[in-house]
Amino acid sequence: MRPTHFFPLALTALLAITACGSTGTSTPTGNTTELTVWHYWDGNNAQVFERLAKDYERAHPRIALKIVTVPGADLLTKLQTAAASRTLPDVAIGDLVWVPRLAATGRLADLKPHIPASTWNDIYPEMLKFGSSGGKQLSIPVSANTLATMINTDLYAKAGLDPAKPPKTWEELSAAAATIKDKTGKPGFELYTQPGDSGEGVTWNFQVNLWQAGGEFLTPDNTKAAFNSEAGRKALGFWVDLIREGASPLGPWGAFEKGAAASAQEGSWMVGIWKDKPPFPFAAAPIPYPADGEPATNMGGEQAVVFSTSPHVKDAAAFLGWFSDQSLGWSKATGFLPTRRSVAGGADYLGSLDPLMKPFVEALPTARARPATPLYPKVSMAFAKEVEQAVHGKKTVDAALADAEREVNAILAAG
Amino acid sequence: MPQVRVPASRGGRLSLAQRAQRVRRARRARRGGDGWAAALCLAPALTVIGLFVVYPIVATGRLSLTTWDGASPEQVFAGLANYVRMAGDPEFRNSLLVTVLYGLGVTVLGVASGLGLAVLLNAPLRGLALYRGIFFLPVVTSSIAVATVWKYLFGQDGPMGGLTGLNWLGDPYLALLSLTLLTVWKQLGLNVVLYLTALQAIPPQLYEAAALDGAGGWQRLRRITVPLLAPMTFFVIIEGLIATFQGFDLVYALTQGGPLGGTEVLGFLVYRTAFSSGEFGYAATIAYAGFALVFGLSWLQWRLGGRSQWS
Repeated sequence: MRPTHFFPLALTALLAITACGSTGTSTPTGNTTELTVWHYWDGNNAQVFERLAKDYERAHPRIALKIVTVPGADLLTKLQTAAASRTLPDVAIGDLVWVPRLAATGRLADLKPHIPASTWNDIYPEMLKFGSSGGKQLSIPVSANTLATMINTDLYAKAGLDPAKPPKTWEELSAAAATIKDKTGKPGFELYTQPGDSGEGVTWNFQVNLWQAGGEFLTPDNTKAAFNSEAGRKALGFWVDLIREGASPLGPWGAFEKGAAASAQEGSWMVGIWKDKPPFPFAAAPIPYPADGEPATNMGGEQAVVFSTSPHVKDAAAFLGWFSDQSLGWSKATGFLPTRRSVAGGADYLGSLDPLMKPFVEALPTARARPATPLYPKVSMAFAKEVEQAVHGKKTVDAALADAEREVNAILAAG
Repeated sequence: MPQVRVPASRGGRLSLAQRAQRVRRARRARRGGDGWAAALCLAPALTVIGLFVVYPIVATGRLSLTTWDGASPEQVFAGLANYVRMAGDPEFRNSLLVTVLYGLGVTVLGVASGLGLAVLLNAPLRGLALYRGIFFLPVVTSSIAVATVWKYLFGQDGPMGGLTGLNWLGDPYLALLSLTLLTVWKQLGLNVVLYLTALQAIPPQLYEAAALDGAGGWQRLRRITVPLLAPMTFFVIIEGLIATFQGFDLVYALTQGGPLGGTEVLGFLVYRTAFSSGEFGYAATIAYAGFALVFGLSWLQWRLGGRSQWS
């Protein structure tokens, strides 16, 4: 061998070594089993999570947990790369809408047999929908958030309305918005009207009104659109009327957050973000629903999965079952909503709850899951574009829903 | 009988000098000395160009023939299916139209404002350096930051919205106008500097002679300044077109392509298709269309006027 070949060889060797070093699969050292966990929490949430991991290690000396923070936007991409290069971690915790996409890779382990039935029964059933697949449970919910109405109490007071008695129905909301417009010149309730880069801002807010009116977004098997219904027309008609009456601005999202609109549908995380420095005095309230409808909200949050490539599926699932049991302390320390019904309804949690969080927690039993299909991102965008056509008056409510139905059905049929 | 001429370069009849040159070249090639030296000198540049220009172009081209979703380990070959889909895609057609309008607006306004301001700043003013610095500031400021400020300015509750009573970011045409104005403003400083450089290269004798012949200010501008600045105008136009056809950051922060797709330029459509809808293969196809467009426009510009000025 000629000496000139030394460098490529050395480089290859170096790459091989570093590649081995960066693999996520666990290596049992002696009697301990190491579990690698990828998550995207940062700041306080990450610290609380690592503290809990230490607690688990103390109680289970046989287990060593390797907690790795991956920045939010990179996690899904990194998991996909890792799946291709067979360097998946044992556990990953990410946004619940990713679960169907990860499940489609066929590399998620069934957690059902490894976690007690009492745990599964205590988790909100809607949250389990994201990971449920043919009798298997491929993910376990570990945190939640919901939507509720947030109110700029200054603007409410200026309009002569009592922020402590917010509108309860769509009809009351329209009336309140008219008063606010009249007295302050500002819109009373901001709708999310621009699809932006994903459409989800429009779609997930709209689904709340659709469910409230008694509608469904897709059919139960996620193969066809179900929103082109009486309820769909009612919900979209409600939006179009709000825009026409000037109750909502027609522009980029953010008017309420800038103090330029009196109320909006916001996520529970906003309470934490605004806790120390609120831009204006605010209150939270349940989302108004039609007088002949039912309360509903949408949910977000994180769910944990175990990869079937892990040699320690059982140990990993046991850790996640334990983590789920920490719902009380975890929710209190982070501001996430509990995933366990016994916690969310318990005096321990409710007693220490920030009153601003109450409407969000109370909405949990009415929180609905978005369709668990890997095609959801495409569906969401196509749907949002048609809603936009309707709120701009470019299409009638009926035409927009019919066009959306045709497009969504085409996406679902193409697979 | 017309004589049939065989082009010399095709190897028919060669002149004596050409033959001698060929022989010299062949000898040099056999010795190989110059070739190695040339290769060595070119290697760094070729490596960089190959890695960061040629490879991405080839890789994107390959990707545009697949239905890859950005996640699957395997990339399924789909032939020209993506190109067929693009030809009939109303979103792509809208995006193309928006991009062309945006490009036209930015170049026309960019040339006019850049030239106008440069002529003004070319005068012996007090605090000239300060003005030049101020006009250059937007160029070096973060796109996301300036777009966020403009989003506030053009919002319904912002100064522009309040002043004009218009819903700038809620109407597709006004939103495109806002985006165009923002882009022109952002690039203004650069265009001014470019034009100033070119202005200072124009010999003052020309103006003096024209003035002696009785040419007024407007005539001097039209007959001397503008024609002599043509090469720079060509450059400013090309630069404006490329910036708009590849534009993404300002759109992302100002309008996210909305409303009603009114500002969905190609760069943003590519991003949305790839990263939100998870259609990397199709996004690569759209990116290729944008690439072809920039390439074609540059070539056209080159043919129409630039070449004679630059060579």
